[in-house]
Amino acid sequence: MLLRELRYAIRQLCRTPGFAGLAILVMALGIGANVALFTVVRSVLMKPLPFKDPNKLVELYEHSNDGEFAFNTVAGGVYSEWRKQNRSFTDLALLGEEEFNLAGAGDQLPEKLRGSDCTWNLLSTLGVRPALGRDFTAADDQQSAAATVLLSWSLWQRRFGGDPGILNNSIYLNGHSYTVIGILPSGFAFPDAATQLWAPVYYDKPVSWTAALDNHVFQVVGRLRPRFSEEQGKADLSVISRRLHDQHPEDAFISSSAATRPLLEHMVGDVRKPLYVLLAATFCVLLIACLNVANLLVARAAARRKELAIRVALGGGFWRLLRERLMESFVLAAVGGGAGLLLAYGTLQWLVHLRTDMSRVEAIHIDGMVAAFAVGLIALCALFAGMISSLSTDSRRLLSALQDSGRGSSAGLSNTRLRKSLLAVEVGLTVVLLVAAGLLLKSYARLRSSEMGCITKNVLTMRIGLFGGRYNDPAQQVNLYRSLLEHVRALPGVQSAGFVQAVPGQGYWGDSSFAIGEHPPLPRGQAQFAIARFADPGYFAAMGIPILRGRSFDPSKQLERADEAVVSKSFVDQYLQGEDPIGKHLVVMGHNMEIVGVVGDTRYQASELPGPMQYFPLFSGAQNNGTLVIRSSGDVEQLALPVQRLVAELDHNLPVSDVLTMEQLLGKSTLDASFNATLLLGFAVLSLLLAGVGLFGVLSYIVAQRTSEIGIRIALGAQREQVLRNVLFDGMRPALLGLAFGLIASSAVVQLIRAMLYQTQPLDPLVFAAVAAALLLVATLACMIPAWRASRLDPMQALRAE
Amino acid sequence: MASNGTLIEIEDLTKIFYTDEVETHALSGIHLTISRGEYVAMSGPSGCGKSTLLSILGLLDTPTGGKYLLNGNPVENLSFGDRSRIRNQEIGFIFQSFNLIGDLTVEENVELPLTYRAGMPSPERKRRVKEALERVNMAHRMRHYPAQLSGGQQQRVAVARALAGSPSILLADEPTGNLDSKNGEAVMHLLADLHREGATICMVTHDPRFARHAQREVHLFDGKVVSETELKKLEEEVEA
Repeated sequence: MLLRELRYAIRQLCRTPGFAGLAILVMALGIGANVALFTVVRSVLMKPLPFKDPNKLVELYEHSNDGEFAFNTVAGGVYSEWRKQNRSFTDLALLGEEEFNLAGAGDQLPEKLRGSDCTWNLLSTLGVRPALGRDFTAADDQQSAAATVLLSWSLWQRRFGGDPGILNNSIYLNGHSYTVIGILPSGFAFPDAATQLWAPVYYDKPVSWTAALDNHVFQVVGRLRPRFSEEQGKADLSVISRRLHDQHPEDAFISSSAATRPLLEHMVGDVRKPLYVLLAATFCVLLIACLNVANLLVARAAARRKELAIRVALGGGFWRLLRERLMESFVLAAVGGGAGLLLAYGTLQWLVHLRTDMSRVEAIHIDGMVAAFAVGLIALCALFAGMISSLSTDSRRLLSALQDSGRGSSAGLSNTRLRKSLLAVEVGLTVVLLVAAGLLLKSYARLRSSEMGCITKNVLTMRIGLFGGRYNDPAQQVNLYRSLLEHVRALPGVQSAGFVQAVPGQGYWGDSSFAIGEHPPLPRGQAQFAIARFADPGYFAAMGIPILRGRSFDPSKQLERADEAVVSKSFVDQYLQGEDPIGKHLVVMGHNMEIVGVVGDTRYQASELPGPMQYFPLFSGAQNNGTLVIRSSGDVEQLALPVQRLVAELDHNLPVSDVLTMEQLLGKSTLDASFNATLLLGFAVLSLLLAGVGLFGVLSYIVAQRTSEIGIRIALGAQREQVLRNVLFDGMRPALLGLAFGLIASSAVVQLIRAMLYQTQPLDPLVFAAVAAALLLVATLACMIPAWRASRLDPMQALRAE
Repeated sequence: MASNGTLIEIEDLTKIFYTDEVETHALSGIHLTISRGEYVAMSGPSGCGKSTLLSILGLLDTPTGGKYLLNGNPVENLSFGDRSRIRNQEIGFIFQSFNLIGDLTVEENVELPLTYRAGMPSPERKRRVKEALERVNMAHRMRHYPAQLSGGQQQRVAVARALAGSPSILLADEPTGNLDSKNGEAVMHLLADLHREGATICMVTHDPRFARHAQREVHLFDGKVVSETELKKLEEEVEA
């Protein structure tokens, strides 16, 4: 019997390909978007980390004494003490971000790679073993050891063709020979997917880094002992930190407490909220899609009223009719769901390629759970849409369709009311999505228009690192910087060039504490710090950062003689207010630097307000990597290749990376905001389109239902514009109702995305007004066509229709 | 309304329907005059063109050729808006299937044509509606919906709606067609009463019993006006 009903449902749908196609498309969009987002949420947020007992893994932080950094990175010395003294963890591992220059070999160019310096026990703490070769041992992780390295699966495949022969052979990193001792399993991505290789930290980093108690540069992960909770672990580490802090009361940067977070939360915390917001948005889209299909099915039921009445007259019971109707919606949902799955697959491929920077992006796959979710969704959509349309036709009333329509000219009133109600809900949900998208879009626009404090047009940037080998000698470093800048400035088309540790928008990078020589010493345990940057004398001019007072660095001073500093306006406002900063001295790590200039403020990140910044001379030889900036009066991208060639001529083993214009760099730094806003806007526009189609469909249906009524009105003397107004208002009523409901709902819902907004109020009146205007415009356009058609009805034909 | 002059005058009226390659002559050279206060019945077999003629008289349709003067003014080439205005002010319709609007109450149905008149204040509309409903004995059902009324009651409401605007002429298209004989007779008596009070009525019917209520009967056959004798002869020829 079910087979017969299935055959019948398919035949019915084939007879109305337009209806079936539209319903399937709407379902495919709704289900596809949901499956795609659910896959991302499941893979990124819900799937356990691919480590042994991942729920026992905890990320450990220091809690800064001033409370400004609640989850601060950890100092190497603190890690050592934690590891030695704690009783809550089976082990703790430390790791830091590092950049490595991988030397070219044969026809392979040198390459700059993101890597990690880690303690030898990192893999054992995580519960991971290399796929090939061996793990680090304690013997590998000391200054006297031979240099060893572990490669990621993808680097091994890409750079070494998956040749196992690379094991126990050497590769050149930062001018040193490292023995490859193992290859990590495919899919291992820690601390993130961009990390390509791991080297022992105690071998790689000087003791001054790994033993310092106040240099917060490392990440620490710990595995809790059985029966120990995260809270216990945190308390345990805090006691140790307090002891260290108390032992060094003069150092304000030694934290007195620790903080912890589950490792999964540490890795995906930033994307959790946006992903849930997007998932909620796709759920709204699905609901709108279902309402639309339900509306189409209600209209179809009305059109098939006579046929259904015959079925009832022939003895078709309620359940039988319900089953037949549900079968139809099941077919629609199943085909739509199938198409949606394909759509989801395509979307995920696109996403994985677009957002390689996203946490756990490598874990995004459609698996059994996603497939089950998709099947559940299909069943739910079929039931939802099918039940609404089925319940819209009362089989007792259906029989009246067999009789002559003599009781007034507004047949299908209950159907119409139901459809209008569904439509109002649909419009309301659309408004919520539009408001959320509007706010994110405005926030993104504000972010992109943030005054960075420097020129962003026609500026090219590229990262260069002078690691190891001859660059261990500061004089060699300075020589290369000087030579590079001299040659770049001589290139045709180059207006100016400079070199800095990190340009505005490139991130925090680091700060350093300082004392002002002319000020009395700070009380014990107090400190002051500011973001630190090393820059060459021409950097400020190249980036258009105004020199407000004094001058830039003296280019003739280098190495030990480079004892000048430049500070930003905020620095002066905060630490030297009411004083003449020029000639004052900064005492930084024992060095006495004279302030020679004050420059304008810049933002290290588009979303952050400018803060105090101190600049030190690049030619001091204390900074071995940074960003080369080139300004041109023309198309600056044309200079990318000549500059890279120049770098290769100066040192063929020097890789260049992240070649971006300032605009591209800022776009990359605001990618999250742009991605969230674009995706949500896409969903909102889709919903608006669906709502528009829904309005058009409902009003067309109403006009068709009211043909004879409109004919009567015209016969009684109604003018065309009166009919148009009447029908238009009829269609606009659910839109207005939905708009009101949507605006009220939005004012509550937008509070959930407050944290995602930058310089934008959740109840931004402009966004709300724009959404209302856009919705009214679309609703008017959607209603205008059926209303215009109604006003053009021939009264004779309309009355004949009766 | 007294019988003092011509209200409707049509000369050589034609109506041709074009469907695909077929040309159907619904009306072929109709000449007809209706005076004020007159009660005219148009009869004839199904498809003879009587409803088409009534639609043209009611300005619901336009003729293909010929002249149509209403109140001495030519109306065959008026714009849609002007025709709507004249329909609203000069013509009252009574349809076979009542054509009441299902989601309006009886009162709202009767008020409907008055709402299309610019500038008529609400109290004036209410007064007219009440009067019209009282005239057809339906004032007590003002708040009801059409579905709550019998067929005869619905047709009386339709008559009230036609009367509410004080039109120059009532056009009734088979007003008893959807009613049983008892209700049919009641509606015919109502129309006769209205005529006695001075209304001009033009009614289409194919039932000779009801046609006899009119002062004058116009017979149509194949889109032409024919005499009673001619009609009988033509009908016999068709039957043969």
